[in-house]
Amino acid sequence: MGGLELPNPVVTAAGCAGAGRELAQFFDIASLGAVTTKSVMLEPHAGRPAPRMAETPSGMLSTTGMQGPGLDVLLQRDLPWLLSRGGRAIVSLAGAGVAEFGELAHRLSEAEGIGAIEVNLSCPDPESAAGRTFADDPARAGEVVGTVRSRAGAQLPVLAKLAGDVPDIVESATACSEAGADGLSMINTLRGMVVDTRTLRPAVAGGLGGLSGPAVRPIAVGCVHRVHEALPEVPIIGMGGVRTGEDVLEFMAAGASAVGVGTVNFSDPSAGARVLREFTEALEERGFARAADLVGAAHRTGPRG
Amino acid sequence: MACGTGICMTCVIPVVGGDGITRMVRSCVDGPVFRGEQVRFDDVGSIPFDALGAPGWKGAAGRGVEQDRDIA
Ligand SMILES: Cc1cc2nc3c(=O)[nH]c(=O)nc-3n(C[C@H](O)[C@H](O)[C@H](O)COP(=O)(O)O)c2cc1C
Ligand code: FES
Repeated sequence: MGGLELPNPVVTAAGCAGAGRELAQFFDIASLGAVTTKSVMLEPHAGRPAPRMAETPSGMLSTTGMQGPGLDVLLQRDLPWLLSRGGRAIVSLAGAGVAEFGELAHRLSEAEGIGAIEVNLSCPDPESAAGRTFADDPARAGEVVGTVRSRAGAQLPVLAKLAGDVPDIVESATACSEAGADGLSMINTLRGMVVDTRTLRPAVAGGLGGLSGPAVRPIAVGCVHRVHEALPEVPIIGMGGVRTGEDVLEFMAAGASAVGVGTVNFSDPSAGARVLREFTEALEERGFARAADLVGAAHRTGPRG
Repeated sequence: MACGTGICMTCVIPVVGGDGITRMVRSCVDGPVFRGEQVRFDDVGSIPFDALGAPGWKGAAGRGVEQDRDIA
């Protein structure tokens, strides 16, 4: 994965596994490829008011608003814990502006044991009057990634986390890759809304939320396929609605080198271990010696071999 | 409440800690039973202005403080 070595391709998706501690009650967190930690900001952040989530057909709509204890607590408490359990960490960062992303990257480069950093581009761009996120504007996304790449230590791989609800995911991917991203994660939640028909008001605070879960999977697989076709050299962590080992197979065939499990952790806290086991079995059944041989299989033509 | 295990952060309510600081804590794992006088019932459903990490929180005062209740 662009300088990041993982023992297997199953990782957790940011914001869907904390820093691994809660899920470790259910399975050995070190068995996963990596744990992607909840996007961290420099300072503690209280997040959005409640209600923060609503159920949707085959998915959920959520808006936590980046609640978290801030970088110091991650570095002093959560990261050492994860590493002490033999876990591998991909640390997701969220900035209120380009400068905060840069500062986070710099501070994280001084910490030991981090496998990679992931840049959450679905953060509001303070310079956008229209309330856009960095991910909405490929040029701004590239600016953030370029800043992170230049302030992060040269050894630390930088992954750009892309949004699926943009006009052209290939343009976003290209901008981030050209700005120095070593790999891409996709997709983040899709913006959507649920209106409570009793109150006739939006069901989550703030109105819009992020849609995740199986409902978004075909969109995510399509994004991975398009980006892998355009940028076959750039490693991708695919995510969006993964529920089973077969789903991992699907993402990898579309072009992902690793796959994130997100929302499924909420209904099945041992999903990480289960999905990995199912994936390993599915791979064997199909006669693949290595997971890497599967990457991009859906792009190949002719009889399957 | 989406997960019940402490990872989704959808179930938070404002609770005053032993240090006097209000935090948005997870009712599923930091509770579900709280001391009633520490729960800011009137603020449930909102983020109190002075809660840790809210706009009115005095950044310098609580910075880097290890929380007595775990907020992921
Ligand atoms: C409750 C919740 C919190 C999330 N928090 C983050 C986050 O902090 N940073 C981030 O990059 N993505 C975050 N995501 C997006 C997920 O990492 C993932 O990209 C998305 O949910 C699609 O995967 P899934 O359908 O398997 O959940 C969050 C998703 C959910 C549902
Ligand atoms: S229900 Fe998910 S953190 Fe409490």
